Amino acid sequence: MWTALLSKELRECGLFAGLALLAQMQLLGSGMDLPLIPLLSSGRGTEIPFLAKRAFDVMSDREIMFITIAIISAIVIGLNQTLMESWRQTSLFLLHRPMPRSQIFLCKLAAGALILLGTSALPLLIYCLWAATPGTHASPFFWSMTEPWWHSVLVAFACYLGAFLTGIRPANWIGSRTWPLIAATGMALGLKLAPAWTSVVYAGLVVLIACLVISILNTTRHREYP
Amino acid sequence: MSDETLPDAIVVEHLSKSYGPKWVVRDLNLKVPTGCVYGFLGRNGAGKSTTIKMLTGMTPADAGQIKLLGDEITTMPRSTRSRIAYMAEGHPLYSWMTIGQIVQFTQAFYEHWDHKLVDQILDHFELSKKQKCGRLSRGQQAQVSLALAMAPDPELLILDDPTLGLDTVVRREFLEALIQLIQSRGRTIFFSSHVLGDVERVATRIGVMVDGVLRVDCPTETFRESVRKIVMVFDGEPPDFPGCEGLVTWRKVGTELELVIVNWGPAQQAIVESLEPSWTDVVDMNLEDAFIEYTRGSKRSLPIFHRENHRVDRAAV
Repeated sequence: MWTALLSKELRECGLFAGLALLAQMQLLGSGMDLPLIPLLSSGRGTEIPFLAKRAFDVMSDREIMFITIAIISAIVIGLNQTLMESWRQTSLFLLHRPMPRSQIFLCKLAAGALILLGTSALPLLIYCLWAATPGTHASPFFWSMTEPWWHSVLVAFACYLGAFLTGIRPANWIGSRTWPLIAATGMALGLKLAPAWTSVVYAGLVVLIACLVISILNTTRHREYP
Repeated sequence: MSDETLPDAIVVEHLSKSYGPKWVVRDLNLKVPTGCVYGFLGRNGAGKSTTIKMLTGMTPADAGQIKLLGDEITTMPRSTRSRIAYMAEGHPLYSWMTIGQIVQFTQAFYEHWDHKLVDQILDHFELSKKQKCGRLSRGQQAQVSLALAMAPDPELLILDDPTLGLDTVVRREFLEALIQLIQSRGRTIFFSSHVLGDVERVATRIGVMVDGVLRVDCPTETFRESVRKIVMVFDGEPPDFPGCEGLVTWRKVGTELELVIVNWGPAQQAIVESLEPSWTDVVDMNLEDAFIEYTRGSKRSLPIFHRENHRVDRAAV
């Protein structure tokens, strides 16, 4: 049951997941001097992996690109998982299966989380392992340097949940419908950029993610399915 | 067809639903006996689809209680849910899946799955498991939906306008398959439809919703035989009709006065004769004509068919 639903979700998001993965591989691959499309890459140059800082003195250009791709793909996947079911009216087909509604949506969320891990965390892990391997680059490396990047993956997950909630939330006006997405993205990025202690930032993100998951489950229980 | 010893398959008590100030379903009480084929009728906007969505748990009710196969809809266990099949209007399927894939996907949710029956239904409709759902015609989608609905051997089938958009031949084939499956397994079927000919062919009992209120709940034959059109011909301008028990509507057409009356009897006949028409004809109607005449009458004063004794009450809502 779970396997069938998971594979359906993964299959339906395959195109967007593939595009996101290719984009991250191009971005991080060029950081390792191994870009997928060399013409689109400026190469690693003199950049020290996980160190350089530019924007707001917080993120490097590569990290800005990484978080942008992660957030956009997260939003697209979250909306695809929810709005497509409504547009095709397949939610009526799916939700009548003898499986609790909360489990169906948790399964969808699990699939979304897996896709985000596969498209953002996995390329990042490969980039980290490359940077941690002696002899690959002439610069220092400590695992603690990668922490803001992992943080970005969590930010993307919060945006994914915001998009998912927007997709299932009934509202007549697009403005009121999209507020979970706008609020989640704004709060997650605010926490990312806030000059606060790391533990406070992580705690804030965890609370935000928990609130979004609870809100999603609550909405699925009480909403009407047209 | 219904079995008196078994509990009702569907029990609805005081079910209501409103959107803003408008009541879409108002104080609906309904019991569908086990083994019954129940045709749920009404004009567009009468509240049929909302009722079906409440029955399937897709829309929460504002008030009232729904029990399907003895279990309350909001707390229904998985075991009961797997004994209920639902075919949504338009037969939505995942367009990227092949028939084989959607069968495999759906099967994963059920403990009991009749592979042989699925293959039989697909063979009957000449459908290949390699065909993509997105490339099927509307009729073929309905046929696949029927196979998926029947495979878990459900005791209750809820069908929301299952023949909507199908051409006459496909509709007939679909209904014949449905009848075969019903007769061979004694299931309860609750379906809505706008095609009255289909309902007349299949349903043993009907319910008619008018403006969110269940006005009729009786055997199909009872309804059909109870609604009569009386045509009175006059030499000149027909008089206004004074009214009588069971009157649904009346209108003047040239020198004729047409009445639609539920439960035509001696009392009504006496009133009609008192108008001294030159000629009177009592017209039998098929279900479609009876439904049209009944539902286009004055909505505030429609006679109500009661489930218990099928007598007619004058009841203003």
